[in-house]
Amino acid sequence: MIQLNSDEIVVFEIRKHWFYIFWRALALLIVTAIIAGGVYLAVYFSSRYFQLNIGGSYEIIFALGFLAVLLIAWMSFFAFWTKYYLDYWVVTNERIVDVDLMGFFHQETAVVRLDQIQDVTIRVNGFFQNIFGFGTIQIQTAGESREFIMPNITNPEGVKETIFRLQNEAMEKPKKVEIAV
Amino acid sequence: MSPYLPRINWNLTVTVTPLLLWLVFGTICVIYAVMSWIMVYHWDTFGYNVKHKLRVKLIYFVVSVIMLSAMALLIWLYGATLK
Repeated sequence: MIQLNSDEIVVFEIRKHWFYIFWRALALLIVTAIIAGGVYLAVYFSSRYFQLNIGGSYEIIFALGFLAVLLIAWMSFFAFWTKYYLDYWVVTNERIVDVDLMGFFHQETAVVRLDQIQDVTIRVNGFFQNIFGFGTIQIQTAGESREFIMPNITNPEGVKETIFRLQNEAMEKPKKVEIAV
Repeated sequence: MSPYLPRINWNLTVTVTPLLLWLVFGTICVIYAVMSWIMVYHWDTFGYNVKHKLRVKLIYFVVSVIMLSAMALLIWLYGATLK
């Protein structure tokens, strides 16, 4: 949660495109299917290597193994989703805040003021980025951290235009100067 | 079975008893509890939209509880078929 200054309003918040989480979910589904198939084959061929005494139904053991794999996949999906959900950018009328979950229990926040922005570059690479309309925005700044990167975000062209519009508005706005007497 | 598989016998005997299944289930429950605590901590600490948080918790816990209950039911059923 970011602390807003007085007169500061959140214009929009943005996170990575849904394709980012879909791609991971698909990979997870494939890995889950491979592991479930592996468990089935392992039990099926186990008599070659060791004696497996299953007194009851084999189907119940297979169903249990499948459910255990599914539960682990479900937890892994939500771990991916947590990373997706807690990586976001907040664009206000004064600055851009990059909130990044680097790993569990490790969150980093970077801020760039709109008047520090020197140039904004968009990169849309490859088939999927062109089809689904997402890409990377690279912001060159005059600050200490010279580059500010927003990867795999939705509608980069629109975001760039809005940033430029907000920057112009911020430059035109008269600055409040407080003088201590 | 395929005749091309190597015929190695490690002389290992694994007997699948309900107790063994309950122990495995207990281990899975512990892992689940730890993972869930970590995720809920992150949603509550770093998340900002109350509606999103509630919705995701509801989906996550309802589906997980269904899966865990189904597993417990299957183990009970396995024990019942042995008698």
